[in-house]
Amino acid sequence: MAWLVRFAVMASAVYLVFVYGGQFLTIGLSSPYPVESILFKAGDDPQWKAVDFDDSAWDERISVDSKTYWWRARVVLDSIKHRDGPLGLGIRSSFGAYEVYWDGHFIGQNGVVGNGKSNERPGGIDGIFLIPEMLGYAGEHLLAVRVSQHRLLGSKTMPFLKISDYDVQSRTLIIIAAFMHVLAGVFFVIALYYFFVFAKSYHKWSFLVFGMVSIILFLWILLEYVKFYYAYPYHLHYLRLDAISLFAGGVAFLLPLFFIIQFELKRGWIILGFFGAFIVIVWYLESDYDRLTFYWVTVSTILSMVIAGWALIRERSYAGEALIGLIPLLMASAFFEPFYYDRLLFFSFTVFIIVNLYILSKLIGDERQAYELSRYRTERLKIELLKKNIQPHYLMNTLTALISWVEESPKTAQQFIEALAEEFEALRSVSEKQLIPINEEISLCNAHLEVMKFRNEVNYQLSTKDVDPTEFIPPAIFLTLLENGITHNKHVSSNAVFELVFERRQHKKIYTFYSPGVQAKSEKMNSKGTGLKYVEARLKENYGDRWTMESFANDNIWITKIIIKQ
Amino acid sequence: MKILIVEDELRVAKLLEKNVRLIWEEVLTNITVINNLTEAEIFMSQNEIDLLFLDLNLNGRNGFDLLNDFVSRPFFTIVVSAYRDQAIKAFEYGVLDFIPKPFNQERLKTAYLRSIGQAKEPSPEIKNLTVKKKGKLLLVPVIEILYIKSDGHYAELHLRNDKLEISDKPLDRLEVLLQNDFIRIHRSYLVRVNAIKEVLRFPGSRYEIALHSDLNLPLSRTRYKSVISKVAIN
Repeated sequence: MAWLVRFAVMASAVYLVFVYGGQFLTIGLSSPYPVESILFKAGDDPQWKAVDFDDSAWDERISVDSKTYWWRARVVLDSIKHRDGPLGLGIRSSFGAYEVYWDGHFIGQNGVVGNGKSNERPGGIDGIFLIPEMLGYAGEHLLAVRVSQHRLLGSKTMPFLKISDYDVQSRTLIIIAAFMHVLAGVFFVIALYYFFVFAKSYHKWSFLVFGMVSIILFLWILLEYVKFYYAYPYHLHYLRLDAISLFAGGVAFLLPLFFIIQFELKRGWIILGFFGAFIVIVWYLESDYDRLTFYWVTVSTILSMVIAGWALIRERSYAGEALIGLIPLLMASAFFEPFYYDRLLFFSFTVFIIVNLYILSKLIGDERQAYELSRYRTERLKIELLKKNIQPHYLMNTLTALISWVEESPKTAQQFIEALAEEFEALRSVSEKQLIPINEEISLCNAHLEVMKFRNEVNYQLSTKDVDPTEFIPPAIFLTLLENGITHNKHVSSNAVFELVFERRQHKKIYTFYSPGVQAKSEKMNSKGTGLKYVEARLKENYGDRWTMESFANDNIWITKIIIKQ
Repeated sequence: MKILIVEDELRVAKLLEKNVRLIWEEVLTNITVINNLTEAEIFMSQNEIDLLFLDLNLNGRNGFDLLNDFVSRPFFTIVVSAYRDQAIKAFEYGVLDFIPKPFNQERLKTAYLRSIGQAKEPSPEIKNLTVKKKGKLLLVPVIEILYIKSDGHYAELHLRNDKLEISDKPLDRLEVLLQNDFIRIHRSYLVRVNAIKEVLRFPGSRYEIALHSDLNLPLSRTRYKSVISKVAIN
């Protein structure tokens, strides 16, 4: 039920972003005045700017190698369209240096047209030109542009023309850039935050990857919208697009990586290897920058959704939320349209970042809670351990036995007290630790046996076999098994030998503890007794799920096997 | 008095045996020490005992389930335990005494006096008597009992609602256990003090006790004085 509520909240958030984001997406796209087809002619002739020049023989294309050429287009201005100010002519994504003629009149230039690489000053990638008010009357107009392109030979772009209110047109792009930079700032701060958290307090790899996704999105936005306020020289265009592709590929790659780390997908590296290969192959095959980004992000999104879906089936925490956070990206792919794909993408990434910000903050909370719980458990185990010597069954029986020795043999009583002191000290010295050398544990067991010898007048012994002194184990686990063994021992003879055997197998360490004289059926050992609960809790504390413990009787010998996996 | 000690701690058992021999000397006929329940059960099925010293935590087992069984039997049970907080519960089950470990001779002497019905101070209140009924153990709240009538080795517990339960304990032992609230009025009768309405005197030095529930029980001549004094106090 709680999941459903969270789903509803997140779905509405995604919906709102899309409704409002959608309106923003279409800003600046429509051109109020239609531009008829553009005609090209290689070469250079001042006559070509004339309104009445016959360009019917011109081509609709221009050879990509042309260094000097003209293009002409006819524009119909409508008087019905009301204007608040002068019109502006926008020429976007155009290579070269060029001079612009409106009805034969020079209205501006971008760069300096030249006849060689040395005397051409490259124009900016975008240009906007004021159409003089006296030439902005209703009716047909002629646009003629004289171009020189001595750089980026072999590459031409079809000029994208836009004629609209000059002020509005020059402002709109800045507005879009400004809005997108707000997002960039958000990504930047998030990236910094996660880098700091990763470096200084929480060494979680998913945090680092998340920070990297954020910083790349930040750089990507900067580079994507730089042209809206800075018309860089045209020959840097592909450099910029290559850099953008690098960022797009990076984000596409990091997305599944992020989920693989977060949801602990074991064979994730293989999937990631294939996906990395896919990124490289598509990069070789696809030359269109928008499509390249589209393929990368789409496959990355689907892959991430598959991982999140797998995690959801496995009931991993926040897999459902992660899946929801990816939906906008999937929708961006579904509504792919080069003109506004970038904006759609950044909005989708914003949703992704926000949703995952929520998830990561929840994870920090969860982890803190788990940490506090584990600390609490450790404290409890410490107390549990220290209680061994003051729990009534042990302490009162020991004291009663002591009284009996004081009456019968003060000398023995003295030895008894000394043995007791030894055991108290041995237990105290390990009580603060979570792991102790196995030899310390054996000393602890022997100290306990010394005390029990006086209590029960049985010659208890602990023999060990193949125990590796470099091994560490949680404190008092074999002591607990020993105590259980003594409690259940039938005192059938005046001797009792306990045995601890160590075996090392592949990826496994096996401790087997043998308690003699235990009748399995009549005096059943309760596996849920407080003693064994303590052992289980200690093993869990130190080894998580990588251990097993089984107890069974064989021929009046009680055998407890503890297997620690590596 | 035949005494059995069930204790799995050897030194504790030795100390207990030594002191019991000393303190119960006058009434002791024999004493046995056993360190586990299985053997203790076998021993009890073959021998009659009068007093059982029982460690409640034998071989790691919780003793209350077996305590319930033991207190329904004819003999007295004295619990010897390291867990002082179990005392109240043990008394509710109807043990004669609860001796916490470590114990000394003084404490055992108090237990001794209780076992022969000469305790100087009243024992903690016994809330229930455990009886065996059709092989099952049943707790009879002491507060429900009006009077108890001897029936050979057994005793009939007459309850307020005219019900009848049979205890395996002889009347003498019940008298010791219930000395706080009950008084012996006859060789065969033990009666709840506050159930007595009046003492009736008949010609020929014959006495009877009238209960609030309109029932008369015989009062023996020799016990007349002690009954009168106890009823008067109440």
